[in-house]
Amino acid sequence: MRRTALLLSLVLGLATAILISPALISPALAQGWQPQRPVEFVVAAGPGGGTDQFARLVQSVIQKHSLLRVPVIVANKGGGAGTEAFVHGRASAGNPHVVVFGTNNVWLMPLVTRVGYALADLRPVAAMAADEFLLWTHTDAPWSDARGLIAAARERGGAFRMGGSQARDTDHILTKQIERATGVNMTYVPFRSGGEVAVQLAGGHVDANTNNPAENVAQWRGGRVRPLCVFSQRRLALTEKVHNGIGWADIPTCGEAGIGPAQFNMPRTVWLPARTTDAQLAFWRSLLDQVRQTPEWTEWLQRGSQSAMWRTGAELEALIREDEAASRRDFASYGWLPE
Amino acid sequence: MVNDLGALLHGFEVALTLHHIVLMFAGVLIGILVGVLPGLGAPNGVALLLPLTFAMEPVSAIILLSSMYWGALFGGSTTSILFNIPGEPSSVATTFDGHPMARQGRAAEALSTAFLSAGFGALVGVVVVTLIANQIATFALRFSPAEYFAVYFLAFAAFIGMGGTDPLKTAVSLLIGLALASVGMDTVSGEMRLTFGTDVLVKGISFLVAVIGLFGIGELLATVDEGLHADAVDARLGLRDVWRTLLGMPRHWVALLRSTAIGVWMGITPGGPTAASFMAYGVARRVSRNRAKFGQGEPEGVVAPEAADHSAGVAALLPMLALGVPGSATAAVMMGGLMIWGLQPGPMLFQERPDFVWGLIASIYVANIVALVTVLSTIPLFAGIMRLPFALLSPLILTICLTGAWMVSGSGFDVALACGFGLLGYAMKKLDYPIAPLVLAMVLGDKAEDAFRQSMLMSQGALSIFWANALVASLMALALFFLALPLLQRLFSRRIPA
Amino acid sequence: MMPRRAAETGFALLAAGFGLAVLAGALQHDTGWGVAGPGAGYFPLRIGGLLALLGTALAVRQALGASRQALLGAGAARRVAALFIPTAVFAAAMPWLGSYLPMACYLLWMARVVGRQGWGASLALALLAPPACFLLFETWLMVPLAKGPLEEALGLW
Repeated sequence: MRRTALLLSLVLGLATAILISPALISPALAQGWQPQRPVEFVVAAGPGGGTDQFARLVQSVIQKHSLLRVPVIVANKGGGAGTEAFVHGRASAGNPHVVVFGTNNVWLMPLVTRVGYALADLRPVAAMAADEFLLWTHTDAPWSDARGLIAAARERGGAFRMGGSQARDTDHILTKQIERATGVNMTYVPFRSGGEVAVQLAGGHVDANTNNPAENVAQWRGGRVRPLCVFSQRRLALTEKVHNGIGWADIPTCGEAGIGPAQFNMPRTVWLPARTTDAQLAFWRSLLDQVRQTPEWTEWLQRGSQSAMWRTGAELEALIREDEAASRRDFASYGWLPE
Repeated sequence: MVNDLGALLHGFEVALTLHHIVLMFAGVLIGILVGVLPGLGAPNGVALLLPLTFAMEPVSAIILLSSMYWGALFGGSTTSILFNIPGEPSSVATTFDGHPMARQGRAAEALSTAFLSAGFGALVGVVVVTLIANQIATFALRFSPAEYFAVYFLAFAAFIGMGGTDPLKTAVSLLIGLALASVGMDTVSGEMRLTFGTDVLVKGISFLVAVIGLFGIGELLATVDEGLHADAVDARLGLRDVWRTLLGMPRHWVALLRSTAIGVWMGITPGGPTAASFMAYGVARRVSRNRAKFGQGEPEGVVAPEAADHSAGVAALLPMLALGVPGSATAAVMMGGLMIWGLQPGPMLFQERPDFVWGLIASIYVANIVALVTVLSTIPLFAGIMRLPFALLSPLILTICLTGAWMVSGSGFDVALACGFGLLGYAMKKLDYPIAPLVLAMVLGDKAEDAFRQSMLMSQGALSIFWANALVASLMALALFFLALPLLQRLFSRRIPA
Repeated sequence: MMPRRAAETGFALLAAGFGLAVLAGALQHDTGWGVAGPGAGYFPLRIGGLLALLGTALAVRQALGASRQALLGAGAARRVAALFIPTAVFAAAMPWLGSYLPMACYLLWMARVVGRQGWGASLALALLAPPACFLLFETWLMVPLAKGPLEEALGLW
């Protein structure tokens, strides 16, 4: 009896010691953890797009300001609409030298298709910027504003062509939300990238798109497409004039223009694989914090008319949870959830 | 026109500084290196050099990167010819006749033919680009998914549908390629197709991995099968052969001009260099008097894909600048670079930064000549590698193949897949199944399917979208003509004796 | 050793089997032609079906008609196996043991045992190639190769 109690307390004590030991050790590491090996930045997109630029810009800032002692390698894993990168993140569990760059697709992709990873396989480090969405049309289109476009779309029934990049991704989701808010039906035509969609609109092959500012600005400057409204509560802050005396700040919000949804943007996110320690997470968080305070970062945000954003820790996790739950409800009503 | 010429002359002033010529040499050398290594390619080279360019003037940066690209295009042909391993997807078609030539001891002739044709294609390509730079932008805008589909269909039709092989076996090869191309995420529906519940297939089957297996590993297996081919490739590669080939090049002027025209066309339209080289090869084989010799070491079978590949590569750079649409993975990385350097690719770039655009165009002339000279002088270096005994060379080549398969996406599955494709390539070679249709189907299959389904979405399911305007209708008609050509030829040749 | 007829029939049947697998995979998607054009499974279904059909036809034709002559002599089969099996082992070992150690073993085996080269050349190849690859790919081109326990222990990665 006594021996059993002794044994039991011994086992319990050991278990407690094992359980709390990481807690005892990690504060010591928190000051000290530094990457020991070359770091891999995994980009959840092919070369050239917004996510790729995001990762490469962070790399260039780190290099320019010597924020890291180890080299940084950028690897594009854009297969399966970016899921390749997140699957790689799952396979690198416990490796703090792998940093994954994505968007909100990290939590949206597992909802709509079989992807080979779960949200729990990655730890969110930070959401660093929010890319805005605008409603664009080509210059020769007969409608002059967003309301006119919606009226024309209603008249043409389902034949109105909305271009976007990828199926069941942000552009498609936004199109669905516009349809729901206005009650019109559109034909959504998915292409491979935002750049392709921009050219299809400039050539007049689709009637509208919902590209990010950076994806369409070149065609706007060239006078081939024009913005109708921005899906944001406030107008864009940039005062620069782009074409014919009209600039970013002159674009009405979609709320003003009378079509919904009022607010839609895409956070740019950075992740570590699961089973990395809090100290490692803290290291990357403070590094990214340094990056976002450089002039290069601000300049990049402005050039693409992206909004500054800085969410980390519990706040970021809450944001992800809420957005995932809301998206799940929406996707169920569109019939996008796999059986 | 006159303005453009003035701008070009100014561009030459920019490109011909010592600083820029040194950058061109550096870029070309790195390009040749990544081009020669299977699994690595121009995108890797760009990614490697990009951090270096952050501190440079934009025009110096783009000269470095584009020189690297030309070097990679040249380097890709080298391994195609010597080892049957296409270093770049766009040099697959060069293996068809280039490697047989090398096996017959004509490696130097094959290499110099390839390099000289490529150089010719690049230079003509850049002349055309210089003349019509400002018109290109508006032309490429006319391409909707229906036109894209017509271009892919045309490339298929020009390549497939004839030759001495069993039509059933050709069809099987083509179908296997089409099936492989549809693995992974489907762009139009966003669904995962043919992954059979596995994670490794989610990213699709990499074309590079397939090519490393089918051509590199498969070829070596076939070589040891035949035995006694230990030193079949003649090690004598001298500069004298280069000179002799240069003097013989004018014989191929028709093939050169035709293939360059195909290349420029496919570069400006979104077909791209890989489709261009296949199409040029297919057309050359159809119209050549030496049709029977194609695939067995016919120089024209090297001239055609190389000239088309390079002219397409050159011509594809302009839409990137003028439209902001990258025609290839390499152009995409360069475009990302442009943005980081603070330039906005698009229609206004020509007006706002003429120094940059014309400096780049002028550098294409100079860098291609630099690349041609550099790559011709590497021929003796490759002679050294070829002198290694086969027992040492073959495991080295296989090591590079497997390492290359790993480097494509850092996945062990890809390495195993390359071995599987090696067996497949060996079996197909032994049993006389043509491999080229499989490869072409993998390159264009899913793109053609996407374009077709996008067209159907846009037309609400009406097939008439494929003859809705003059452009798409003429592309489709040309494709159908190519498909019907073997039939017509048979009818025609039967009638003559009668 | 292996008659051409058996090989031809076998390969055609394999192709047909692959076609059936594609067909089965396609059935999990929309295989119809809706208002908005073909669904995700439309083309794969037909590709798989046609492949199964043509593969079977080819198998029947070859089983009836192909020559019974040897496709692969015993010597050739041995040479191919001697090249392919070590390569496949190398490929299988790479994800677990890293690129470098299997590379050295593979090159040594291929040069010394299969290629019957002298110890000097074999050892030189096996010991020089991995560091050369490391310098070229990892330090200079910055493309990571596979890492295993050895690289882990040496702290290379």
